[in-house]
Amino acid sequence: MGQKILVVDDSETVRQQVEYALTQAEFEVIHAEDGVVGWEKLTGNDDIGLVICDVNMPRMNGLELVEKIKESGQYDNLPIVMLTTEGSPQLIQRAKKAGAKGWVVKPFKADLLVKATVKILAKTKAA
Amino acid sequence: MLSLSSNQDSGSLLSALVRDAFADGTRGLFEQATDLPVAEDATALALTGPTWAGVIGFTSSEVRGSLVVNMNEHMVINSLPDEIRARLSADGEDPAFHRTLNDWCGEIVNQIVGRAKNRISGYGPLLTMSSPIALRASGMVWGGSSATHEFRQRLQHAEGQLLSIASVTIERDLRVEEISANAAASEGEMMLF
Repeated sequence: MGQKILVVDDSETVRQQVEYALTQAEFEVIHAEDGVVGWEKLTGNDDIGLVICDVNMPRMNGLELVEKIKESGQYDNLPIVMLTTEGSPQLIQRAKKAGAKGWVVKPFKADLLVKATVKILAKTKAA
Repeated sequence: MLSLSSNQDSGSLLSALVRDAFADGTRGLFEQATDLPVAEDATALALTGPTWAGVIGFTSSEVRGSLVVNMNEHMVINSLPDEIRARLSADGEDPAFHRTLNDWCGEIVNQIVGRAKNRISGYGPLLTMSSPIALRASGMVWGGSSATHEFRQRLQHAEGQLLSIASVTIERDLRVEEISANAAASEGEMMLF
């Protein structure tokens, strides 16, 4: 089994879609339905290698979660990829500033998402 | 803030931009999701039989409103990602069947408004979107909105029908031009930093 990936998205169908793509590539996947649960899963699992995160979600959105992760100072080497319908340059810049390593606009192609995951994990390991 | 056109003969009216953003976003998403060409069909204003609807609200200082996407059940099922459709319960009364279709309706309307938002943001207005809601019912009727504009679109392909209604209030329907620096990333695009 490969590294553990945390997928945060309020759509169960999208979470299943991402899980299917990543488990085919032998990653282990855990889920959260919003930023609040995402933070709980992150702090409750010390072996998460990468986070894939939606932007528009109830309670705590994806950008707020990324900023919370950065502010905590505990996850400086944890890569985060945003997976969202959003594409505005302002939001992309905000995510980048908070430390996100990638931005994918939905609907996504499974092979591209897996390639991005592998590439970012390799880059993080080499750093 | 709106990027106003420098003269009366260039750019687009904001209402036309919004209409096209929702129409192209809806058609593009369904052609991509179903891998089937969808056709415009203005012959009926409501769908018959069991249908599903996704609803989402959006707002900005210049444009605000809601989008309703009403689909018959075949259209929803056929637009599901292949790997999800393959595992879908065949029992239409199974709660898992309902949960999947309900969730997917919300995601469809979310992705359509996302596409429209990205296109409109190139002209200045940055829409804030609500979370989607979805419901299943027969004989749904939508109307009575106090919006300044209502854009209806009915799409059809071999496996189903869809009716989308964007109810939009635009206070000042001015001519606008695209700002190249505001160009949004498009669907399927991936950026690594």
